[in-house]
Amino acid sequence: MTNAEDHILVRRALQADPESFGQLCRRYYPSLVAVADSILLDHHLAEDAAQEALAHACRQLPSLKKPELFGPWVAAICRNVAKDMLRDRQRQRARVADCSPQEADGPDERPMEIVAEAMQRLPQHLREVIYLRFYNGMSYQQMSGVLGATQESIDGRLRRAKTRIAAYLTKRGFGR
Amino acid sequence: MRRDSDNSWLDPLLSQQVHHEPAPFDFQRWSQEHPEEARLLKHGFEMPGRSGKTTTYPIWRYIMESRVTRYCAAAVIALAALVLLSLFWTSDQGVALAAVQEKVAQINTMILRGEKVFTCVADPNVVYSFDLVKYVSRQYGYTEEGRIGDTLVYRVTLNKPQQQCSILMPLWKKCLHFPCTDEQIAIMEKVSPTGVMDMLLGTEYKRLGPATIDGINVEGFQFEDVKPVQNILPKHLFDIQQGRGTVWIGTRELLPVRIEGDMLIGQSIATLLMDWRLYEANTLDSYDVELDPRLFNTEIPEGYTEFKFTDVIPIKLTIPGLH
Repeated sequence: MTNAEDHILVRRALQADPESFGQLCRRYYPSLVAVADSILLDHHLAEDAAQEALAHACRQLPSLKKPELFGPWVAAICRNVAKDMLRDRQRQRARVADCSPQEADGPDERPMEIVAEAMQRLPQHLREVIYLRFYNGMSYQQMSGVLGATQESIDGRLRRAKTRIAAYLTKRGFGR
Repeated sequence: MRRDSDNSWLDPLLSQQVHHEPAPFDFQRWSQEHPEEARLLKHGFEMPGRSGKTTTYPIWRYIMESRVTRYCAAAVIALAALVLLSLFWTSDQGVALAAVQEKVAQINTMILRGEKVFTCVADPNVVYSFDLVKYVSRQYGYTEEGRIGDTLVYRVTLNKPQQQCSILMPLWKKCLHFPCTDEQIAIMEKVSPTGVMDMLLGTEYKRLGPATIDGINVEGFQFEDVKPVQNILPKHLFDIQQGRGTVWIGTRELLPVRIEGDMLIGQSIATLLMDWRLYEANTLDSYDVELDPRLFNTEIPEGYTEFKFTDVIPIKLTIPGLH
């Protein structure tokens, strides 16, 4: 029942109570890092994105129409911030790649690299539930508060994500 | 509901790939790194359409325009007040809380302050928010006042010696006044520490660990079993479907410093057959202070007329958005 608490905290934050916003930050920061990590695939960048998302959320707080939905709202902001950062990074890499010799992929990838590859092949919304679930052992209820989806829907997404990863890994010799 | 358990061999791999220790969020550092946002939070937002004052305006107008809803809110408030008060006393429960129980049992008067927020489940934009002050006296009874801004919206008084109860709604000059029934007297007994000990004997709680509230070191206790309070009132009148209470106890003071309640109130007469989510937070302002017995006066001032619950359903049907 965090929705009502979020409602109160947002309302207080709007009435010049910084600590209320601090509580919201502490409550959602780990989830935001997981969301950003699922896009950026870089933990440190993900932390930066989460902090930036909270800054965006702070500035836009007066526009939040349903304060009890702060979690899904700030998660959506975080996705956008992370995607912007990803685009910037890809542009930078493209510039570097233009000036650097291409390296061929090694023939024998390590197991965790294959797992990472399987994760990267997932659609972002499925990768996100994997990150939320395994980043710090988030419960379905907590995930529901961030994704704004029912626990049944989250369960379905997790199943689909894991089925795809398992299929990929099985082809690569895992799980036998 | 099913839980993902297929491909369980995957879990360790995924955990190894993704897992990170939860990073603690340093709000102070974040504020230093984001001075503009910190300034906004500290000094308030300039919002043409959504300042604290204007945010309450639609709610205020909603209340003003809807007789039924305001009566409904007042009735719910009156009943919820009893429930929340009883939750307050639940801090006495538990082996580790024996010292708190002993200290609370010696307190004769309390003044609590806080807020109460009702959110309509069907339409979360319908919100009623009140600033509260509660006066509690073992000798005289209980009075709760709810305000929006400086305006008194309701006052609920239970006078223990006279066994009378009154609900005043000054804005509309409406009132309810009735003698306490045996059941209500029993409720009054239940909100005493001894009664609560008996009532919540079977309630489990979990420790939330240490925290700081207004500079006071506290420890939190949370419980979700609301069965003992569910039966305080008949379900057709006030139906607590689920809830959670949190009590923060000062580790040095050995007193409840803050109580929070978060409940889902199901459809009942008092809620106009609507579901409401109720959040309430009370802070212990002072205790064992002298309270004027007139605070617990249940006499109805001149000009007030009685509110009749038989009006509720027909009126509700004429109000857009409520049916």
